[in-house]
Amino acid sequence: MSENEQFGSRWGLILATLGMAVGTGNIWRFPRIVATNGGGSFLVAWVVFLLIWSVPLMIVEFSFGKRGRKGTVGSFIAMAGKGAGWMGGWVALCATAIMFYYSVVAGWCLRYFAAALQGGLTGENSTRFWESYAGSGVAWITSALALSLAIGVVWFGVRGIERVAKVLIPSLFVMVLMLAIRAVTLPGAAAGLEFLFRPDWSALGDVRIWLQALTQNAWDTGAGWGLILTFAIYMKSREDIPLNAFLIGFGNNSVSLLAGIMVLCTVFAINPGARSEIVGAGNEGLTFIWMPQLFGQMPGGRFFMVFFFLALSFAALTSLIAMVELVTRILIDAGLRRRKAVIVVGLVALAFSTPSALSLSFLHNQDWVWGVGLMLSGLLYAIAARRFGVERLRREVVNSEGCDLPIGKWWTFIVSVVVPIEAVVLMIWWLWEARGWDPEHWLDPFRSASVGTVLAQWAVVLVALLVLNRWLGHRVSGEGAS
Amino acid sequence: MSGAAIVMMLVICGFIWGGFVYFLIRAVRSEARKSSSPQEGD
Repeated sequence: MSENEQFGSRWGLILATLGMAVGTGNIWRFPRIVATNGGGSFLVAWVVFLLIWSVPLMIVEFSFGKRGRKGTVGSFIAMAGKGAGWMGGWVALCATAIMFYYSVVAGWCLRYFAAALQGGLTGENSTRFWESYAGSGVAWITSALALSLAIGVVWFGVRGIERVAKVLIPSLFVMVLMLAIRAVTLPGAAAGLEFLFRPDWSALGDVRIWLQALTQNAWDTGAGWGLILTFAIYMKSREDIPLNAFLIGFGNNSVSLLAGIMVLCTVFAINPGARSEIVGAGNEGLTFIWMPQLFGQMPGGRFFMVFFFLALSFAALTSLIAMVELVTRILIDAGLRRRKAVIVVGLVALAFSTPSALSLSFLHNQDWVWGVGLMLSGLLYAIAARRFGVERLRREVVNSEGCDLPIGKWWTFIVSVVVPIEAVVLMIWWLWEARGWDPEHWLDPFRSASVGTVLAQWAVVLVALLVLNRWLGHRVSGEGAS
Repeated sequence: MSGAAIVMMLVICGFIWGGFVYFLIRAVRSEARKSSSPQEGD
């Protein structure tokens, strides 16, 4: 397999990147967050941050990958100098840590799809099913299965990723659309639409709504994760950047909107009395306990439940594939052949996903630590872009030959000024929030979801990266590669 | 549904889905143009 691979077409790149962006967060987090943060008012803020966080950062990622032609470490060095390897290392480690527990989540989706298909999952037994499954050895097996599928795709290189994306992403769109249409045609669904879209203008004065909208964009579009950068390595040199970024950003949020309509219309049509309990049940509670119950009470519900979990599985797998490719690409840059790199990634991921597969509290803690870590990743992209020169990046890379939608200086301003402010404000806000969750032990590094655990784990990773910074630079720039 | 909710639904869905369709059409046209140009191979 050549290490100088390319996507066969623009559509291959777009579908693979859309697959990366559309994940479980679109389907299980967005409906919950919009329902608990002011409905229509939240959507206004969510659209604003699509334009001043997600799309600008996606353009940065595309330009780094296209110019650097290496994984996150090599591209950060190419763009911001030899001393910037640790920044790319942080972005990679953050995405890798997420991959370790995301494989568990993908395994859950596969298990629920299989159970729905076989008829073993019903509205009556969903709580019992979840409690006996989550954190068990079976969850580890399904996590290993999800990882194996992702590894199998990445094994065949970027053309393998392209082929799979061309099947899974259109299928995912069709399934989410079908489920949304079914949901809005249920009696009583209009109340769900009212709840989702009713604007409460006074809520726009609440800073919390804006911060939640920014967080949703940061977590569900994949901007700043390093995954778009990784796919951009394989784009053609005369390929457009801005139009692709807008297409992916709007495509991702289109799926979120469909998922919001699908979930909230179903909730309001089937069990409006329990709506607060349902949207407050957390990601897993909503998806794996309440949704089967709602489908169980819907005419033809089993049929739609199968498609719901199949869509969720596709969303999870395409994102997991991108995460596996990110790490694989860095190992390729360090001198390994693709297939050897894929095996190493598979074995390491299998080992490090085990604690999350066997313990929900461990998984939630990792989700907390590295979810906030993504905001630091976004900040590092902005810093690296400033080192290269944001305006130079716009002229030389973003608006270069082949560009279909030249962007103006507004982007330079957003990346130089707005994105760093957003990232810093978000990090401080989330850590401040966490202080209130457990006021007595918020600095304890061994407490789950504490500020202390975030700072301790970040410190370990950052110190290691800074110590290894010079070595990282040598390895990925080929000076020390075998 | 209230009038305000209907208006908001049209604005948000129109912007997000309309935006997606708009950028998709632009990309399709651009690809068609590029594929007719012999210089675009890479």
